[in-house]
Amino acid sequence: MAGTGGTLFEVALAVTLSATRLFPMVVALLPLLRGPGTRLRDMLLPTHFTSISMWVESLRLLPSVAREHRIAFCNGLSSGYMGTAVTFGFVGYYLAAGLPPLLAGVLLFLTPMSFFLSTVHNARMMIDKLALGLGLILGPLLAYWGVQLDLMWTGIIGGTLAYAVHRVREATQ
Amino acid sequence: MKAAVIEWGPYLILILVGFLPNEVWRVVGLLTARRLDEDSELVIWSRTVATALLAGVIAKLILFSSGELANIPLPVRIGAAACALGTYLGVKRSVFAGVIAGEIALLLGGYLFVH
Repeated sequence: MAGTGGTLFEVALAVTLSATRLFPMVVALLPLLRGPGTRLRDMLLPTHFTSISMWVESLRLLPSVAREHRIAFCNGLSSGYMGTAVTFGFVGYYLAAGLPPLLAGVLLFLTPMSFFLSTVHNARMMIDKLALGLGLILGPLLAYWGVQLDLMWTGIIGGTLAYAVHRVREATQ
Repeated sequence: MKAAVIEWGPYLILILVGFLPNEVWRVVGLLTARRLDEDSELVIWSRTVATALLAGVIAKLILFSSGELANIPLPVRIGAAACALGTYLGVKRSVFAGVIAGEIALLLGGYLFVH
């Protein structure tokens, strides 16, 4: 175990760094959930449930949900996602070995396709479209250049540029 | 004692490298956002950062694919993503129709160019 201790620590560190994305996601989502009487502990479960699918759909659907029902809505949505993910995780685990390679590739393509289109679907305002476009370009570019923490920088640079353009437009209007 | 460590080892690893590294950022986010208004500048900026980051994840999944998806040529993957977007825009902004079209395009393209 002593030999694997270092590796384990490195893996934990790598996961911690790649999980930084959850920070801006939670900050953007929680103010939509909070009402006048919301306690901190009511927000623990939606915070824990924050993931890409849940975040994208919540940001789109919450504005049409009454504020007092939003936390329950998020928890229900996430439980549905978790149940589906666990079920198909099992199915996939047992199917993967027997699946033809091309079909396995097609199945793997489902994740980027559904993320891609639901994010496009969500980006109605100029500021979101800009952030989306910049991220699509910067992400692969920074990865290709071998930049460390490429995704974190994609978020910070792309997001800040989109935000800055939005501020400039607001100020000139 | 040693048996207990071996028995609980996988779960301990799961918590240490699976649960805690993710959860810590969520909790930091919760503590940062709990007093913020949804129209505050920090929240708007966070949304653009998260959106750009997510877009980066998507683009990397398509361009630098792993597993069996990596065996399907890059132009086919890009073409299938373009088909998905075109169908989405053409068919009443339906995410479902777009995803299905992208999947069919990838299947056909992969079949034609790999076999």
